Amino acid sequence: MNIAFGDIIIYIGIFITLYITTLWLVVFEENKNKIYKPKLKKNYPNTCIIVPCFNEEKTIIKTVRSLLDLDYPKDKLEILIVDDGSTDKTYQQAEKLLKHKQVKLFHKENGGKWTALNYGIERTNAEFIGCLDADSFVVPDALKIVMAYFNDKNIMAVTSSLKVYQPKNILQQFQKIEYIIMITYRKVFSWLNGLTVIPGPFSIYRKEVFEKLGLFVYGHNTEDCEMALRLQSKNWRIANAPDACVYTTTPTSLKGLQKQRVRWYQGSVRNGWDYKFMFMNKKYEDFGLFILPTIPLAILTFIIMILYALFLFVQSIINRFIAWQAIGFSFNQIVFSPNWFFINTSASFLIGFFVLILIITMFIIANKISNEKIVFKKDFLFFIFLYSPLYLIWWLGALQAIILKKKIRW
Amino acid sequence: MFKQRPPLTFKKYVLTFFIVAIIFTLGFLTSDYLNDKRFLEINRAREEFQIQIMGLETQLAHFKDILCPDIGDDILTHELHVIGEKLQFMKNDLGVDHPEVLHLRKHYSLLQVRHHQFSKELNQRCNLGLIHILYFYADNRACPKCEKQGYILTHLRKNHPHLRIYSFDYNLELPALAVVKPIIPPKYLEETPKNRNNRIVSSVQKEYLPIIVINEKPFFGFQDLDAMKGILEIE
Repeated sequence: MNIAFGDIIIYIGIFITLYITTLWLVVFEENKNKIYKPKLKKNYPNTCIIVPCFNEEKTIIKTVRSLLDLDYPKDKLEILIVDDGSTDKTYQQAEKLLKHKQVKLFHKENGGKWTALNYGIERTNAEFIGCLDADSFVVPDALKIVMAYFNDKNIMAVTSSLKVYQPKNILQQFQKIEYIIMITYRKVFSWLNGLTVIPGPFSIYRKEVFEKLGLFVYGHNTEDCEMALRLQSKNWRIANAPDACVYTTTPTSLKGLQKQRVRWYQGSVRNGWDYKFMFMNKKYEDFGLFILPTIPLAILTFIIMILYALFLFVQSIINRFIAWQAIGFSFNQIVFSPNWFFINTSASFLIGFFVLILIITMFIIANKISNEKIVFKKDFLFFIFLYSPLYLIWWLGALQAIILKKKIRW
Repeated sequence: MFKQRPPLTFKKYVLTFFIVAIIFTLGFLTSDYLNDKRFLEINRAREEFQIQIMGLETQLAHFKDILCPDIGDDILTHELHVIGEKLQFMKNDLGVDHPEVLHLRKHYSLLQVRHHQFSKELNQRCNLGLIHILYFYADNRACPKCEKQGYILTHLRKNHPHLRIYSFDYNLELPALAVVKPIIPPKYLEETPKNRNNRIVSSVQKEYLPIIVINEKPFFGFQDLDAMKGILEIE
């Protein structure tokens, strides 16, 4: 066994990836019989859903209609639309919805999503308060599913299952796969009490959260991440309802996606830094000792692995170029030998291959949990080889923003 | 007040660690097992090659010209090439300094020397029209153009079956290689820096490496495809 220094880095990377993937599967195996909860059938509590919006004239009506169509007693559900200083016709569009008694409409000066949420929270007396971004749409039974989780008095917030709304191009198809994987990821992390984000689209909180921990804050433009860490810092629990579906519109261009991801990632790092006292702190148990330290480690591993894959790719291109320079292009250079002898069976390759099988298993499970059917072969392969390298660009963008102390906008 | 988190669940983290450790161990053991099988395969091929070449050498020594229409080195050349390819794979996979790889490389070099001598004699006796090329290479630091030279020679070998190409690591410590190594002209060696062991440091080897010896005549430095075709007088 002869291992070079470069190999050691790869082995560490594979170890971390394998550990996280295996843990994921172990936790899943342990809890697979309690993925779903039965819907709430009685004692519906008063609930308020706040819809913060800024220039959402195209989607606001559809978003609120999906809330009006919720299978939930109308006298128990309040919908507050908070127009955060839109410059288009969002307010006029929203006015059309005022014929429904459940709907209330407010207008305020632009101050960011978190200010719009706080504006709504201050104007409701409901026991449970939720948020739905104005570009997202819920399925009718989502609220009954989510509210069932609050029967457990320890649950302080519940997140839903996010799916991509009508993907139109290949980039959105990739995001669809990504969101499906995230549904299962979130569920498993909720079993570990390790959720670090309570996403904007259809997450519900107990009112006590705001009364005792305070309202939303700027949170580096990721107030949902800040609030999740705030709950974690009090050892309060966040659950996840994988069958409470909410469809959200996603960026259609690489530029838009880059902007969104840089905002998310810089926000998670900056908020993580603000709550660094939880890192390796046994007071926060699993979350402080395992989940929080694992996240940066996993990201770092991912970046290194992607860089290494790029390095190998560039190296093979250079080799091809040298061969091409020497003898010109020839199909003879591209030879596949069927002899087993020439198949790569290095330990790193074998273990890496095993990791790939585990990841595919995760994806199959994710497909099942989310009740989605993805064209497995083509889309998933493209997702791995074309979409995953983009994470490197987004993370580098986020790190650049942090180092240069750039303020990220929506 | 609300109930805190459930108690620490180290059990699953430890369990996961053990599963991962088992997968890693299995990965390494499988890899080692398959490499051992590969070494075994190379050794078997090497032994088989030795038996065949000894048989042919004996036939050539005893029956002289009588065998000429029936005897050739084609099969042996192919087998030698297959062993070389497998060894190259092992070298890339396990590293040039892996003890077993190094040991086999020395053996392989000796097989090449032996095949070269046999093939040369056969060529003289039976007038087969073979051209014998000895190619001396080194690692990328000592010989940055060796990789390119390798591509050219492989290309020529594939397209011209009458070429017999033998490749040797110039810096392989094997006394028997002195039999085939060309003498480096003094102009390359004058005032060149040497290391503690009085050996020429590899950085200056790039002045004269790669070396290609064609039918006993050495050519120092990189030879591109056109130059090679010119020397060999082939299309």
